[in-house]
Amino acid sequence: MKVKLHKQIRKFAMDRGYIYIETERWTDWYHNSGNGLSKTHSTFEGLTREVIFSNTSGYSSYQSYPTFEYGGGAYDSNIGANYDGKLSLEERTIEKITERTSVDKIYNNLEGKADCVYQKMVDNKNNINWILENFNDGDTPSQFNLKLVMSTTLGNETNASTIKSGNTFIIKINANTLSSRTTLGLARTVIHEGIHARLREFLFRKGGTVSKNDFPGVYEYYRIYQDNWDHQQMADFYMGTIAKGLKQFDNGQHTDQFYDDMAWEGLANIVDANNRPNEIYTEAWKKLTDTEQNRIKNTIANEKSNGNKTCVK
Amino acid sequence: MRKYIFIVTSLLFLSSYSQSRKNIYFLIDRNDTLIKKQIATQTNEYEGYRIIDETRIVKTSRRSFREKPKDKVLKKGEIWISEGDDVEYETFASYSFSFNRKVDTIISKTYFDSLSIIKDRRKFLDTIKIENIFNLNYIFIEPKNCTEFIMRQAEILTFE
Repeated sequence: MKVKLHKQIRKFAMDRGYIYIETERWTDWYHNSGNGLSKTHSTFEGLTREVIFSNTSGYSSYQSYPTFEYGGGAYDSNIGANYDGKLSLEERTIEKITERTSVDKIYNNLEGKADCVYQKMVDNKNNINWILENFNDGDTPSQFNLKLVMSTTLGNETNASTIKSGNTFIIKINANTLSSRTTLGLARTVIHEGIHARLREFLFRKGGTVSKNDFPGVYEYYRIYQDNWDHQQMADFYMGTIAKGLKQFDNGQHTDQFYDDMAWEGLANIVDANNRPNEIYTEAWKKLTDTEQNRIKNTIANEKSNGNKTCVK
Repeated sequence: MRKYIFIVTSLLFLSSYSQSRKNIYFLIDRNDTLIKKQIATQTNEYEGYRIIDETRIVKTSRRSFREKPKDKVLKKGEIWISEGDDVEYETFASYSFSFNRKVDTIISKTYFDSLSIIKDRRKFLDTIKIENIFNLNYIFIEPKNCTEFIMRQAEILTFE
């Protein structure tokens, strides 16, 4: 009987501005003769290279050392001498990189069907990648993080919410209603909440103020609608974005009209953030005719009842 | 004759909404303080009901207020962002329904008596909880006078 074990050999190369990592993947083959395993041979499975750049201040004071080191993070004794008497250069480097990459990125803690839908959209080059790009580009242009999490404390009438907490936007997907949600409905929720996060990231990017010179659209909607500004802006200008994302997710199985109609959920009526607990219709919704509104409501209701509720990657 | 017209109209009304979904009739108790009704105003045309489930506590959030420091001088074309971090707080769970009074129907007491109507909020909530809430046609009924009732199609809402 043959047994195979996979192993990885990592090589580090350090320079002042980046860390270069080569990872070799090998399979070791063993023969089980009944008296234990004896190694027969190794096969090379491939090589990946990764370069992680850093612009952290103070990093340039590190010495240049472009030599590879072998074996799971071990390092050459020449550079293994403690850089500052406490941590080795390599440890310092990895610490800096860890610190930097945790500053500004997307943390996906979704589960089950919600995770499946999100992963599927990200992998299939859905426009959710564009919507969330500001959170996934290192520490520029902003310092905001994005977390996607499940929530068991949201009410049954709330599909999801996006809240700001310090430098983090948190998209909470309702875990209690997950089983009854359709995959297309969930995709729309992720896109909708992603746009909330994107718009609010623009609002807060410059600190405590927003200027018409930086983000004229955000400025204008914030000026007019105060706390309801992002829903109103989304209803006016992001319906096409939502519909496009849904069509991409769904591989265009329906008409464009269907995806346009689906995009309206969460944007027809909203809780008035300026005057809770009243509810209001968005200005964009009020411009539609009764016929259009009824068609949209029927489309959404039918999809909720009859849409596919299983996510297969 | 008048009663006959009421019944025919009502049946037409219901048949247009029934399709594959099950009808659920709920009599609005105006004395129940956990049924909130929002009526259209000159500035807000939304109309609907919010039915509160006092047996479940959920979390919701609202945007906090940031006061502009007195010494902060705004440049031309710049606005102070008065919304701060979101504040989460606990509240009773609820279900929201909207309606359009333009398609309300008036029904007679006779027809009212012929329907299987839930008259208690708790029973209504317990009933919809065991169903898929999106597979139901919600038909809310309110007394108009001693002999007539308003019957209206209500749509369950979700928020994002």
